Amino acid sequence: MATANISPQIHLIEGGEPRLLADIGRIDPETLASYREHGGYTGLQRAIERLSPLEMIAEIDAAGLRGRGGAGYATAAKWRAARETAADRKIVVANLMGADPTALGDRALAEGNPHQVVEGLVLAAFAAGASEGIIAVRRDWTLAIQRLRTAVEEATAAHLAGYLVLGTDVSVNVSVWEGSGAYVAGEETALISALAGDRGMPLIRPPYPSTRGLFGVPTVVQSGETLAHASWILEHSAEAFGSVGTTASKGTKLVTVLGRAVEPGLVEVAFGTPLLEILTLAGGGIGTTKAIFAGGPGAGAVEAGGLEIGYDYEPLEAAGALVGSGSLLVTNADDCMVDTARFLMDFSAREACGKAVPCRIGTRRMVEALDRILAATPRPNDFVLLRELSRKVADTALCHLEAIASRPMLTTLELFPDEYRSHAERGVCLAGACQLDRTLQPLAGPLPGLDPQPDTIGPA
Amino acid sequence: MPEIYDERRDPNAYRRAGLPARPMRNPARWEEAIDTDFVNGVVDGYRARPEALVAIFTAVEARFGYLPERALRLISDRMTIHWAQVFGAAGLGGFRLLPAEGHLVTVCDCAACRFSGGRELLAALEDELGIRAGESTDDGSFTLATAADVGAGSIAPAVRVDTLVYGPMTAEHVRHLVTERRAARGAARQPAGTAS
Repeated sequence: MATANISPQIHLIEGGEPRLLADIGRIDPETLASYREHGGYTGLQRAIERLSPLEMIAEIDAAGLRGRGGAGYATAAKWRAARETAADRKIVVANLMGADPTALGDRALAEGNPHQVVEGLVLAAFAAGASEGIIAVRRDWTLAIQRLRTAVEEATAAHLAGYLVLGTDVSVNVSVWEGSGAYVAGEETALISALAGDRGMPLIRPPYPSTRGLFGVPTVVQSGETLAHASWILEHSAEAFGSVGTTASKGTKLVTVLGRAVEPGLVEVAFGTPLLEILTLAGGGIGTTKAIFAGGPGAGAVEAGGLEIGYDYEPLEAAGALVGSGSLLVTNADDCMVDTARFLMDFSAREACGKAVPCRIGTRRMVEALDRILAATPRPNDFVLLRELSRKVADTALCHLEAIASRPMLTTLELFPDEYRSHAERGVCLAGACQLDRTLQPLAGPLPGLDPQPDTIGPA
Repeated sequence: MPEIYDERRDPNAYRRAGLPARPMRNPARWEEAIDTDFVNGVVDGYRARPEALVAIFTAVEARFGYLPERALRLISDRMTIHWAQVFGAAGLGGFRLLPAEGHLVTVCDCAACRFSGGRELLAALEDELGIRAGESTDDGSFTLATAADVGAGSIAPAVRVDTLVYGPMTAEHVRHLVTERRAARGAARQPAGTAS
């Protein structure tokens, strides 16, 4: 698709169910007039002039919008909780921190259609009764920051944000701030800490941010994609939003396909679309697809034989994978699953903020155990250690990122035990991808914990 | 020999392991001569709002090429944010805390880049520069690093040189990038050499 006005890093795949992506490339992201020509801010106008905040929340509730940031929490419930908390000051934060560097959704929205995010933010602030809106953007997305700043300036000048929106008594002061691009900074309480000038580290919940968040006041944190969906719902209707998707998750989701796909990029699909169909949209896999890791760095593997499952929170969760950041990493027969799991876990280990000690040290020890397995020099209890550590890291998790950190390892251990076995016992990479030291002696003795133990993958 | 894990790379861990301690590269960072008015101006420009901390870091890094410790102390004083908080936010935010030695070549290590040939780029660069990732060349003209946050997306595999992101790259392309910068540095040094 010709997308001359966004960064070359973002490739939009044609097809799927484009709603948010439909306008990207068609409208001029730098002018308000162009967005208004395409129906922009009509939803905001209708909501602020004709609906009460509770009626607006009811409309979002009827649409069944779930947070697109990964957890899938009902957006209406979050806004209602913030609305019901009595406070003089409330804040709404748009999370465009791009925690998973491979996911392109929020960046494409901020660069291609920034006004939609701003409109969603003002709507969320109106619903929650907040007078401040903060857009937190990853600092290396310079084009996104620049366009969002222009959008906020224009919207404020046109009284669509800022003091007394559209002549009513609603005021939402919107500002755009850079945030440091760390994996954990995308987590909502870590983002709140970072915005307060502290280290970007998660906080213990409860209290939840909707009752006590940034600067100690009720805060709603939503991803840019959720906010864009909210403004889409108000512009069209709740019924139109629910026309696609599943009963549990309505609407569409921005999915990034990467890895061994013919045409990697960003695509918008309805919830419930089979993974195989998403892969086909991206031109299919290169070579024989072996597995798809769904959900970013904490992704769980879905075997090539099981790609019929729909892209939705619950079915993916049941398969050990997750929606997460919305990225799908395609691997093929040339990729070693042990090495891929090690790579993904290493990312979680390196990006660990260090606040939860089991996460900081446990993930590192798990990577070291995987390194020993890869080098065919495992300690006899390494597989037991891996399973135990992954359970303990998840049990003592402060944020969901560490709870899912060991999923790549657990799911591949489940689906491809032969690759682990051959690496650990014989020093042979079944995929032929790893460089191994051929002089090693094969290991004698059993390796407990290697055989599949389905009950070890707990809920996130 | 005991292992030294990444999270324990402090001088004492090296001493206990019987290894020569890594020398501090700049022991007198407190006294560094920096443009204090610039730092104060940036902080005042954002009216010392804590949300702006990353924006302030970005501006200071753009000016000096890294975040000088003295600048961080100034920011801490002027914003009345504790020094440990400021240093922590800077460290976790992926900013450079040591003076930039030549060009920083960062190979993207995100999933998209790795599965489209990022490792070959790293191998080519290690070969071309004669150093491993995380090291600097002897003449200080290049530092090689890997990071998962180059944010290259669909132009994988990508390489970032200082602030510019290049992609999709091949081993030949990265060799060319290095040669080009070597030539530029050589040309820049030449007139100075002839003048003396």
